[in-house]
Amino acid sequence: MDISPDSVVLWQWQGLKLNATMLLTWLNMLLLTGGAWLVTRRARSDHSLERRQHFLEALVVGMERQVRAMGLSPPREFLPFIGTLFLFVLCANLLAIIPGYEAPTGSLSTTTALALCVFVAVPLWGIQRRGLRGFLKLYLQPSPLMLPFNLMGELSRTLALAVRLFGNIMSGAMIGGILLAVAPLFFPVIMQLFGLLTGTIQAYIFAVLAAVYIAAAVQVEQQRETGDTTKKGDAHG
Amino acid sequence: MLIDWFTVGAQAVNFLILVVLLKRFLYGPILRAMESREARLAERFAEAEQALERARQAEAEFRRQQQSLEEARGERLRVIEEEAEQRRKELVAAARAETSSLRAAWLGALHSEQELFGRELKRRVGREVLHIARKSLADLSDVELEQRLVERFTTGLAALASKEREQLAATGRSDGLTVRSSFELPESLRSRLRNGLEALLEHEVRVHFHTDSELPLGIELAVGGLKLSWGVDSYFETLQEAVDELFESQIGTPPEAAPEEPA
Repeated sequence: MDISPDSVVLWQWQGLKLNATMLLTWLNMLLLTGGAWLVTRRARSDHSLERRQHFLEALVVGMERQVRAMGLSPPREFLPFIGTLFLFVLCANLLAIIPGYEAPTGSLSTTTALALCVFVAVPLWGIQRRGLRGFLKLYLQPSPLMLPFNLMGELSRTLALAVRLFGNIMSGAMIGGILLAVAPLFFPVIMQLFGLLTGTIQAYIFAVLAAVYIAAAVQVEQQRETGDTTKKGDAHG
Repeated sequence: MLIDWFTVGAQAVNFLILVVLLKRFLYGPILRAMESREARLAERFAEAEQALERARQAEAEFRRQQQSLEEARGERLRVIEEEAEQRRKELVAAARAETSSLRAAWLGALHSEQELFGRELKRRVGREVLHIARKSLADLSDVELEQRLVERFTTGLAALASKEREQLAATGRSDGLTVRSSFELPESLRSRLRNGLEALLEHEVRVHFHTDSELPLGIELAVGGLKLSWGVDSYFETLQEAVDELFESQIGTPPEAAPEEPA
């Protein structure tokens, strides 16, 4: 039994290879993009909407609200990144219910890739909003002595992000496989249902944590700006 | 090794591609459609607000016009009522004037009729009374009525005041005296009357006798402005007054004193 779909290599040439993780990811991407395209190619802006468009609008608006609730403003700037994280993980986890489909999120390589994307996105937005010096100052807060701990926290939370998702999904698949061997009639179905719930929750957790990390880099700036303004106002007063 | 770094790189690229694809095919179109719909709804709401505002203005204008129309109608009604009242007063006044003139004419006619009737009555009554008196006097005694009349007249002459007696004498001396009677005086009575006058005036007088059928029973001596008479004329006068009173009570109050008709 493979612990990761990475080990299933379908094609290999010199340094390049195509494994099951990549193939399933492509399938996932195809489903998401194709499904969205099928609906939005006939998107209407009047009041007579198709149900599918209603569904997508509710989904997008729901995600936008969540992003705004995390304190990210304007939410539409962050929506594609965080929303795609959620949709990709959710879709991969839910498709795991289909026999023979192994969720790409059950691969530590995939979750690591996603965590690295967050890891990179946080400083990018932080620098964009605060400038390089302003962002780097964050690591010296509340005192320069905290720099190593801040750096360690940055790395560890990225690692935790990757491992949390991987562990949950992989363990769900593993438990399902083990139960299939031990009690093949009833328990695997229940575990698969739990897997759906866990997969949905993990997708939400992953996206929300990413939003929180980005917001931490962006919001500090906003709070400081607000604080400066208040101080100036007091001085004038 | 659980982490295949080639796969990590590929998956990161895959994810970024998916971000771009979903931004292109999902978030962009959906958000644009929603924004467009929101803009259209806002436009419709604005149009509805404008239409509502226009409707409110039209309603206010309508109410203002309605009020002015009501006021104009009330004013016109008031003017018409005033004109009608004026016209009514004029008509009532005209009717009253016409009634008054008709009444006056009617009263005039009635008075003249009354007068005629009175005259006729006086004449007939005189004749009847004369007849009755003559008959009754003849029945009661052998003294004729004319004789009693002449006696009574001469007695009355004797009771004249001296001033009147002088006036009578002056006139009798120059022009003579005229005695009118309702019946033909026989010669004996004429001479008694003449003698009575001469005894009164203490000189000879010329006396002219006239018979006037219009004169009621009695004898009348007219001298200038002085008029001496004795007969039933005074009784006729009383009868005339009684008849006049009867007429007046039947006619009612004269039109001038009629109560004012309420406006």
